[in-house]
Amino acid sequence: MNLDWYYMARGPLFKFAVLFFLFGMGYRLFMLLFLGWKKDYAPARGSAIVGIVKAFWHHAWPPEGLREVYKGRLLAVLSGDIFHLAAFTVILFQPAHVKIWGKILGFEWGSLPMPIVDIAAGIALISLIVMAIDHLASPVRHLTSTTMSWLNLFFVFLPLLTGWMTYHHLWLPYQTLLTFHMLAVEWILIWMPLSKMSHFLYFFVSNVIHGVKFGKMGTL
Amino acid sequence: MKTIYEELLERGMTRRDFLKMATVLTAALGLEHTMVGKVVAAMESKPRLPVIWLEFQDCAGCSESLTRSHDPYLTKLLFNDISVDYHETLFAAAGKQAEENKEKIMKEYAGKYVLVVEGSIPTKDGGVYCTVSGKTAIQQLKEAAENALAVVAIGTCGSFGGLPHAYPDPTGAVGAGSIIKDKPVVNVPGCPPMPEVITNTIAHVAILGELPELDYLGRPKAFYGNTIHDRCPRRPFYEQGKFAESWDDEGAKKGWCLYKLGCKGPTTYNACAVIKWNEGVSFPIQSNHPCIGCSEPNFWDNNHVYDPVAFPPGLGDAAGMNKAGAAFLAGGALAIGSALLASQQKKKAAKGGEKEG
Ligand code: SF4
Ligand code: SF4
Repeated sequence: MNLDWYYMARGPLFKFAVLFFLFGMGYRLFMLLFLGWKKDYAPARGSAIVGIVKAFWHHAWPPEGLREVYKGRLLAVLSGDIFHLAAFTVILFQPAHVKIWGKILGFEWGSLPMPIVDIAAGIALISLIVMAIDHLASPVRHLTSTTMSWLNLFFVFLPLLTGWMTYHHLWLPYQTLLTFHMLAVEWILIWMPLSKMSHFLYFFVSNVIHGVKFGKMGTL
Repeated sequence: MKTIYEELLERGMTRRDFLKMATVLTAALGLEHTMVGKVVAAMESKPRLPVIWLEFQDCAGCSESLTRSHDPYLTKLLFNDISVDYHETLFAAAGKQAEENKEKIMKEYAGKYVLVVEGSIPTKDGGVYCTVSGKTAIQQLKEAAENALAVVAIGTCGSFGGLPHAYPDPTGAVGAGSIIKDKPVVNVPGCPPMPEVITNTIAHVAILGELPELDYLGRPKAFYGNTIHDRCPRRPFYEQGKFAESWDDEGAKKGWCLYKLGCKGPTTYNACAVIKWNEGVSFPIQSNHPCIGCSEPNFWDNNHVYDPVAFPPGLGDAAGMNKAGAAFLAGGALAIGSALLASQQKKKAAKGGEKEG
């Protein structure tokens, strides 16, 4: 191997991916905000703020009617939550990542010891596998999963796997592993605005919008 | 032609001393103890291989490093017994006389000498930026390499272009391996390389007449098989997440990991953490300075010396941040534009619909 890919992945490709991500997310966010809203003429029957809080709460803890869908699949459902917790532990608290965030944001926070990050990465990887199995095993989820959902799972799996391999320095020269990791991350940056992975932003926007709407109606 | 053994006997060495020497040499070459027999056999059956040492765009720091080897035995062996027959800095002869001598060796030992290259080779503008006795470095290198048994590139410059190759690279500097394609090139990078690694690698080729096992960048695995990070005495602190955050904080005083202060140990393959410098006294990390990754290609451009290895070059600089902000706003502007256009079209369509209706 020569190191050309290493330089590409750390240099031009990284810059391109970040700019594409920002451009894409800027587009999607403003598109959502400016698509035009219907005026709500109905008198408010509840509080918008309470609605917002409840909307977020219902995401963490499914309401009565929805629990039926989750029956017998507790592990699978929890795997989603666990995945997010574990993945964010890795993304936000791995020492190298902390330095990168610090450089971008201009301020820094403490990092976690490597073994803890390592375990978090392992948990995130396993929970992704559990989710994948659930996609196949649960009839409802099977019906709602599309090629896109499989791609999403796969593309999230890659940066975690390559990062974990890099840390453990498995089989290949360190630079090669880091190249794979960087490429996987860059791909996800590009993929995010193009796919449902933009839910990392929409999740908040839509919960606020729905919270306000249904909160006012008093139906949440 | 006399074998190395015969030459040593002639110089008054006893068989006993010779065997002792072979044992020490085997260890020095990074070979296993069981290989002593092979080293002895090679010296008993093979003639000495002369070494021709060329210098191109360099600071002679690698030669300086070589003369500081704390293995005087091996250095003496290399210079007196294996013999470096031509070395621009260390050679007593100069000018025409030296050139003639070099040509004589190249003819006399065609196919049997080891060519050592220190410094990078300029390729821009016909290679005019480095000439020795009227010939460009490229010509000199090609001529000398033609009949060499093997080429050993010394230093990051000789191996990968090194500092002259760093941005903006005015001379188009490259390493020997980019010019010599029909011959094995062993790379011994470092800025400078460790003296022991230089002597041992040259001795390996010159005595055994074969190349050591190489990694994917042509470096001897015996010395470049592990990263600095793999063998770093501060590694436990890295694992525990204990980092020095500035040069004089508590962490720095307690000898914690230097990752956040820019240590390139994790991406650097070299033997510093094991062999150490100045007769095994210390190496940068032990002396409270991060590794700058000098034995890796492009180490100078790859990152700022004090930026953590994880930073892509230029991350977070003002120009980059402005571009990032601009990209986000451009995306937003495009969205607003198309949303407005869509709503106008909707209105138009609605009006048109009314008319038609
Ligand atoms: S000081 Fe450098 S080489 Fe040593 S553990 Fe820290 S990062 Fe690794
Ligand atoms: S510690 Fe790193 S920078 Fe220093 S000499 Fe060794 S490889 Fe080069």
